[in-house]
Formats: sequence, C-alpha cells, structure tokens
Amino acid sequence: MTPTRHPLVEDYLVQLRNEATRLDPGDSRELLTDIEEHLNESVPPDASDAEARNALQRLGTPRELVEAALNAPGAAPAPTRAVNNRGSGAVEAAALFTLIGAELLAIFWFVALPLWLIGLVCLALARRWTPQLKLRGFLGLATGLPLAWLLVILAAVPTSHCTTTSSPASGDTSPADIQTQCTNSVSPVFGYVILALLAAYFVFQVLTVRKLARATRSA
Amino acid sequence: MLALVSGEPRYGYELVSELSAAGLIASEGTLYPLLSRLRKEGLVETTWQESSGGPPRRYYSLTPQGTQALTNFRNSWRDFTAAVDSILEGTR
Repeated sequence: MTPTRHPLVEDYLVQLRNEATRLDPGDSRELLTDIEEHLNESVPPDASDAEARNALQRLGTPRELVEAALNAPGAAPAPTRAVNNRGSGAVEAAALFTLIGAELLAIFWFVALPLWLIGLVCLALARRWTPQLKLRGFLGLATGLPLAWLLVILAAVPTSHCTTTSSPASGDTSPADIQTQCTNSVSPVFGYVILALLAAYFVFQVLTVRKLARATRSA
Repeated sequence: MLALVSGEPRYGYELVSELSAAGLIASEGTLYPLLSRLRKEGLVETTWQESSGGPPRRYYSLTPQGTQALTNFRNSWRDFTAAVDSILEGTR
C-alpha cells in the first residue's frame, strides 16, 4: 500500500530518485526506502506546506543525501568528478632545473648524471605538460647532457697531425733547426657547419625552456 | 549512533529525531547513509516490525561486534576527554 503523501514530499522523492541514479542500485534502493519511511513519519499527508517545507529542510537536499551515501566507505565508487590533478608545478620546475643543471655541469659527470636522471623522471611524471611538450622537452633539453659529453670527447680527439723534425747531423740543436709540420685532418668548412648546428641547437633549447616554463605557469 | 541503539531496538526516524534535537547533526537525511554503512560493517542489524496503523518500520539494534566497537569507543573517548580536561584545567 502506498500511503498518500504531501505534494512537496512527492516532489522531493522524485528529485531524490533522480539523484540516486548515481548510486549503486542496492544503495539507491536502501536510501530511498529510508527517506520515504522518514518522510512518512515526519510529514503526515495533511501537514501544512510550511510544516512539510520545514521537515524537508531539516532532512537536507537530495543532492546532499546522495553525496553522503557516495562518501560512505564501502559505497559504490563515485563517478569521476572534476579534480585538479595537475599538481603544483613543482615536478615540472624540478625537471627544468635538473636538466639545465645537468647540461651546465656536464664536465662534473658525477653531479650531472644523477641530475639528468632525476630530470628525466620528472619530465615523465610532469602532469602539466602534454605528451607533445614532453617530447619537445626530451629533444630540446634532455639531449643537452649527452651532446655536451660528445663535444668534450670530440675536443679531446686530435684533429691535426704534427710532425717535428730536427737535423740529426748537427751536435747542438737550436730551435731554428726544429721544424714542425702540421696538417689538419678536418676541413675548416666542417668546423663552421658544426658551429652553426650548435648555435641552432642552443636557440632550440632556449625556446624549449621558455615554452615549458610557460606551460608550467599557466595551469 | 551506536550508543543510541545500544538499549532497545530503535527505528530510523526515532534515532534521527533524537540526534537532531540534541543539535548534533546539520541535515537529518545524511544519517541514513551512516546507518546503512554501520549495517554493512556488521555493527548494527535491522529487523522489520509492524507499526501501529502504518507501514512496517525498520528497527536497528547492536550486533555483538557493534557492542564491542561501542565499548572501545567509550574507553578511548573517556581517555580523550580526560586528556583534554587536564590540559584545559592546567591552562586556566
């Protein structure tokens, strides 16, 4: 038997039924039964509008009740809500500082290498950067340390061969007798190309840092 | 809530009205999800009983587990209030 209800109570229950669709069916049924029972007790069908409104106000809005049911432990998981999951930007800042630091301190490999690894992890974890930005960060910033190391190694390799000859006949060798001949094994054009590429890479790095820093702040 | 049902079984509206009258809750309806949670945790159990001239009511009573939880809470609450009291007395 469905008891006749006050019209305001009927409206309230309709709203509650709509809100309760967010709950697991079992929880929803239970909440509706409890609230119907409560309202049957607190608002008799012949209650005045003011009495009904007062009772409904004390009960709380349908949304509040459903939120309470959702937040009760063991309840069905709440539907995804808009949560700020973009973090504080600290991870992004750490990625920038460690990767730049690693590049600047490249010759101190025992400092640079850990910084670079931390930077890579932070780059991967950064939530304020899109995958495209992360790729840009990897290409434009994380490549800095390996490249710096490559340059150090290349600089150590002799690029010219020198041969020193002295006249073996004379007893005392004066500096004028010693002849040094050097031949460059690398053409000067190649050197300019490398310099130009490095300059372009450096500009790319600066632009990358600027882009990443902007994406970190504008969250 | 557990203390309220520790005596004889009570029905939902009765419990909610009592807590509301004591000024302990802001919205009465949120108590029902709490009761439902206590039931799921096995601390209270419910039985349907006929009411005089109305639909049957759901009555809540404590389970042995609920009684144990209430005893634990009473003890820790007593310790807590004693600790707060001693701080308040000491700073007066």
